[in-house]
Amino acid sequence: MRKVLLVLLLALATGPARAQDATIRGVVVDSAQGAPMPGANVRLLDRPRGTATGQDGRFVLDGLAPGRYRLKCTFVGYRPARHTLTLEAGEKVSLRFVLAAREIVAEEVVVTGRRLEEAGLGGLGSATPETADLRAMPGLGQGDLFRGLRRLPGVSATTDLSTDLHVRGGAPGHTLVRLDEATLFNTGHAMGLFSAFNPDAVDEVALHRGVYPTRYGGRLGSVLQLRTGPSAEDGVHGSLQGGLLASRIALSGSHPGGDWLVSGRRSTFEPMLRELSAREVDGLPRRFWFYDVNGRAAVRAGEGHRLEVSVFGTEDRLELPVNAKLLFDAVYDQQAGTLRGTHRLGETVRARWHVAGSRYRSDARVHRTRVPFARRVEVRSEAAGTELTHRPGPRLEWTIGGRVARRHYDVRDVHLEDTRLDRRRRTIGGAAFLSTTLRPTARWTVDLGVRARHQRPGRFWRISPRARLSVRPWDRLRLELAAGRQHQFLTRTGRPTLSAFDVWLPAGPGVGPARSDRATAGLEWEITDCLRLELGGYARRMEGIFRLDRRIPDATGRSYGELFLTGKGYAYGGEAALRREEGRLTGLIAYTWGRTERRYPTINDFSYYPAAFDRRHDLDAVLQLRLGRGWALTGAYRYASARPTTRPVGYYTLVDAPYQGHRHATFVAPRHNARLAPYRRMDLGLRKSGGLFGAARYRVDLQVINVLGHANVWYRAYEVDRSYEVRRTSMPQIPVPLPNLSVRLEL
Amino acid sequence: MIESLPALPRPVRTLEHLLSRPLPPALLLALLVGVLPGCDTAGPPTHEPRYVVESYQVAGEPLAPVRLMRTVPVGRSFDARDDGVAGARVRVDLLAEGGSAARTYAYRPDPSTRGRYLPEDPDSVRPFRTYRLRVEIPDAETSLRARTTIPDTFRVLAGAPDTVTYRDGAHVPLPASKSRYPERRAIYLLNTRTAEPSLDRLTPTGRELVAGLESLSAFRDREDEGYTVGSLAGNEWPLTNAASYPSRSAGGRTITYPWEAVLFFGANRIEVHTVGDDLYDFIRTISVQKQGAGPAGYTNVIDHVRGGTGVFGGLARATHRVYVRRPE
Repeated sequence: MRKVLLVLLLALATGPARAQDATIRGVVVDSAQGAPMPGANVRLLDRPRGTATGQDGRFVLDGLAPGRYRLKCTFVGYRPARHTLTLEAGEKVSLRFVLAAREIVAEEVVVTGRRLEEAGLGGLGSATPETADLRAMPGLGQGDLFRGLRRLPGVSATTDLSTDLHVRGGAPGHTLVRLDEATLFNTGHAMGLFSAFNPDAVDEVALHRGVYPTRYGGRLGSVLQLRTGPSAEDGVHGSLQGGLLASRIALSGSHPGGDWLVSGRRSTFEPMLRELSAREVDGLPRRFWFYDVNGRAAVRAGEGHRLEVSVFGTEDRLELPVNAKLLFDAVYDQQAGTLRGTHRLGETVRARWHVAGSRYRSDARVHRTRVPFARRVEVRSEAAGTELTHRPGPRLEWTIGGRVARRHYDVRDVHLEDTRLDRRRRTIGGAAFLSTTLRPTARWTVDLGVRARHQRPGRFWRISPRARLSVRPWDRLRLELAAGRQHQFLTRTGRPTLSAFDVWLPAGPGVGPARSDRATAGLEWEITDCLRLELGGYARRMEGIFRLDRRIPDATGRSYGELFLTGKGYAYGGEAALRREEGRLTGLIAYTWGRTERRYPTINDFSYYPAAFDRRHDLDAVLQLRLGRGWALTGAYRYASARPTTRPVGYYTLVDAPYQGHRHATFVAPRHNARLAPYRRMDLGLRKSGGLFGAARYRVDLQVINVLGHANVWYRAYEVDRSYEVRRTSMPQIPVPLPNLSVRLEL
Repeated sequence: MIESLPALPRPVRTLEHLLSRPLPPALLLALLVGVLPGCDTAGPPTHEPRYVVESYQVAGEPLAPVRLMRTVPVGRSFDARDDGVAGARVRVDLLAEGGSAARTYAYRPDPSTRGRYLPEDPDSVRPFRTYRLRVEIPDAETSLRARTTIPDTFRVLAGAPDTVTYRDGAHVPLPASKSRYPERRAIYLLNTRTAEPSLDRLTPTGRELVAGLESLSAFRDREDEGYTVGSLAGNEWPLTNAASYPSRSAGGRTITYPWEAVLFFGANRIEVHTVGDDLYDFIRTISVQKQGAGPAGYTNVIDHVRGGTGVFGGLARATHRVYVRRPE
């Protein structure tokens, strides 16, 4: 009897409660084949609860209390997928996770702009002009996608004052940057202090660090693919973020027929600039502003058909008196747009097409010198492409496609009133590619691809084959080998921190496309559900790399090929990354060991020397510790071993020179014969986030950048005075701890 | 009474467990901060002395002397006499078309200047021919080699103004006969020399240059330290290609001499040089080096001296005297 009563009491006690529980049922499928995926992990974020899919790819999470849930689905070798939903009492919800395979393990890194910021990756980046007054000001640490990407293994930078990316021993110009389908030629604001991309307007960032997919081409090193977005999943969503240097706003929405997004960002430095100028602080820019705008709209044109249009625009203005003898004045702008269509033609065929264009213009000047210098640069690109993907079965997929592009390159250098460089190049190029993916068993994948490209003038034909072999010996482990050849049909020549002076010119008569052969190996191990280890290695050899020879004083009348330095290079290295994406403590620890060298005919007697961005060791740690009640501690540390510099060790002075008005010391030193001091920086931050009256969310970040106050060296200058004493001057980057406060509001 | 406490279960220290606690990452960071800097063990580069040659062979003029010197480490003053190298065997070959020596000129030490060598036969330098320098230094068991091709001679033609008013016109026109160089156009180097440099004679450009260095009064105050206005008496203009100047229907080109290169009113001597490849490479790269080391790094000069450094250059030159009047 007692047992019966106990059972009844229990039934009374638990019955009504169980009736209130909600349930999530779902299935996990592969995006390529639509096949169910057994063994995939589905976890509730912020709660110690999870499950794995069965043989049919299905899962159930029941007994859930009403509330808001975030779910994450993972499977080794695939990009994680997430869902956020709110469960009512007793509600039963069905979910479908579609996982897309990572194209190259340890090759491609896919992150979203939001995740970069949440992880503190972008928000802790910082930059500063050289004057001490600017350094002392807070607010320079704006969220920045490119600075976040630098935290990843295999990606490095030469200075805090530039957004240039050096990927696996490549120069910045070796990375193709695409926003949707448009190729971009300047990725920096304020001469490179910030990347040109508003984090609120970038949905996905995919960095292909190695043997990139055949749908891309034209670069030796890597591909950075950015997608405009995100749009709100339902209704209208807005965000507003204010800072001392820049502020931004974004608005997005969706409806049954499609979705949209508009965003803008503008520098808000002018009030501070006026205040400092009123106090007669030297070295400040006279003018300094920038803005960028993004827009995107997508419509569903029937079942399986989708059209998207996106636009992007930026403009920069900077007028900076460096000293009494030097004044920089630069204005540059960029526009890009993409119209893209996706069509599902039956169950096994999908077609995509796009029309895209971009234009970059720059007008940069150096005043107050005896010979004023002006450089005007314009690059325009118009392209159209299409591709067709066919999946006849679960073990085979192939894609065929092509893209044609017309480019206009203009560069004009004027010294005083004399034109010293005036080149206008027009190129027409076409590329066709074929790739196939074979899955002979569930654990083996073979990708083969080839891309052929032709460019005129020059009649360059280049074939770029690529191959990849991937095996999953255990559910949580994936190994991969890849090799391929890539070609580059253009070059970017510039100087760090002065991106407005960058010159883009194509291969042409007398200077052929550069070539790179590379091999990579990778390993991805899901140690636990939330802890992942990635190891990678790469080796690449580069032939025919070319860049504008800035030592040519007057290019008038010279043949096109004479304008360039053509050389060779190589790079190799190893990478390791440990990620923890769930739990109280999340973050990334990444380490890169690498080496990259170059060889040019007129430098160091044509022997190899370390490239300017060669660093042996590069360690990044970005951690976030949730303290509860919306509080979190963030920390980032970077150590990078010293990068090369040329340190004069000897000199002589000409005596009889018939052309010199007065004598000068001529320094002698092998190029990059020394290294600067290692780079060390630690940033710490405190974050508070929460809700405001149930209608908005806020986030306040208080950070101290370079909390240890380490004065990292930007570069060193040497000068001989009249008594032949050599004076060495070190230009620091951020020599003092720099506080930063930002406030973000999401509606 | 002390009770014996039951043993606590031994914690399972998985990697995830370790990383889920705040202390180990902090320790890890501390270790990395402290340990990794030790990975960079490369020491500072040291100076290894190099031999330097200096000689300029001018078309149509007598063979020029050759200087032989040594580089000195930075931080030490350089003196061409003290750092001159004596005891070397110096010869210059006039090469035939096949590259063999058609004639060899021996050099002897200048008794008055250590490290300076004078030709024993002051033959004139032949335009459009190639000369080879050979230096043997028995004490160091070292030899240096360099060669230069001499540009063709040219001259400033009649019609060039003898007197000009400052800034009257876009530039000073200097018609010049054609100057040839094998396999390329001529490359010009323009130079002005004034006989009477003084602060009172500075042109507006000259004043800007002085003010750019420092204020005019400060410049005057520091004349004792060697900052004399006389140091501006010789003034050069960047290298220009022949294609930058308009062709003359009668042949040759009209050199457009810029006003920005004129620093003094009064009598000026304009020197127009055309340079060989070796001198062109040297001057264009020393010009970049003189700009200093910015973020892009320090630039070395390109020299054509095997076994050492310096310049064994060929050039041709023409001069023109012009008086620059002050504007009304």
